[in-house]
Amino acid sequence: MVRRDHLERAVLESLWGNPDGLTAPEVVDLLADRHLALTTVHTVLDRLRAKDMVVRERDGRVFRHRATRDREEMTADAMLAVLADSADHTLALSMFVRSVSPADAEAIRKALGGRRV
Amino acid sequence: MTGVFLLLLAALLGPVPRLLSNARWAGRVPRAAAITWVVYAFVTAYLLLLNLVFVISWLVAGVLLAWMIGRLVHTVLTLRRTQRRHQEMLAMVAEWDPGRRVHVIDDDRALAYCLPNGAAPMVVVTRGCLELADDAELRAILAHERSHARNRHDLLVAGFLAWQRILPFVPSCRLAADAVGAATEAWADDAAVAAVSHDVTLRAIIRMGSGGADGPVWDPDPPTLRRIRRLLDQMPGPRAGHLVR
Repeated sequence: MVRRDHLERAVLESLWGNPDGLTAPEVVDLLADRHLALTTVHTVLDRLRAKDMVVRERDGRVFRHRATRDREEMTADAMLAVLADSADHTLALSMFVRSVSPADAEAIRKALGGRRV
Repeated sequence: MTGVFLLLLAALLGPVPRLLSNARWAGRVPRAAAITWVVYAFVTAYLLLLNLVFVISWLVAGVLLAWMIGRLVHTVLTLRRTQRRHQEMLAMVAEWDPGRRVHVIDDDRALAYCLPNGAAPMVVVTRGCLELADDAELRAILAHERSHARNRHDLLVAGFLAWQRILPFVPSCRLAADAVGAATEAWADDAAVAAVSHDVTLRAIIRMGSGGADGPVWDPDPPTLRRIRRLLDQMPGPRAGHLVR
């Protein structure tokens, strides 16, 4: 994975650790050991928003950023995409053994509340 | 050809009747002139119909071609978007295991797969897979997935998927896509056999498919059953017995 992904992951992980949301300067402070510029964090947050992983809300004069899904939910989404794919191969994945039937995948999809994966 | 017929029709509708009506010989042989007009009418009607058929078939062909190109573009874009979304999620939640050179997802379910990713497909396994398979089985599983990645099976599968989506009403296209899928699996199984052995590869398939459960609880889907049969067929007879009780 490229360096950019590492940075996005670090920012997302800081949001996962703060479910109430963070402002960009707060992210800079949390990742102080990386010595990030505020503009860099803004860019990373924008990229994460473009991927639907982060939303922002106006809070007075600043924006608060929250993760749309926590780590467990994102893992579940990734797994579900793989399992549901055994029916139509949209991911063109080659799974070692398809141990979960499309019916099971449908059940998981329903359990997740029909979220798009 | 169509051009020739269209030119001919244009001549028959334009200059020909004018020349014919001004012809001096018509006054001398009125019977021949009448017959000539009848012939002219029939030929013109025939060419009109013929050109109509040409125009309609060109239109139909054009619409069909546009539709097929649309399906192709849509399939490619959907594939790329789905794959990119998946890569983005993996970049956030998967851990890189430098020892095994795989991406690991923290999930109980035992899964191993190869994800198309530009020129370098990614091999992904779950924690459940690492816990379920023993070392030899894991070598078989990873050899299988690396064969998919190294031999660019994703391109083959995606190509035939697009072919099938372009012509969804042609049953042989689905047949071809399924057969290519089965061929790539068998190809990757051979790589696993070469890396470990028939026994271990079979054991890995059965353990991953059954989720490690004991007893006859696993009912493999037909493609997996064919993979198991194929591997069994390649083994010397008496040795196969202990694998399928």
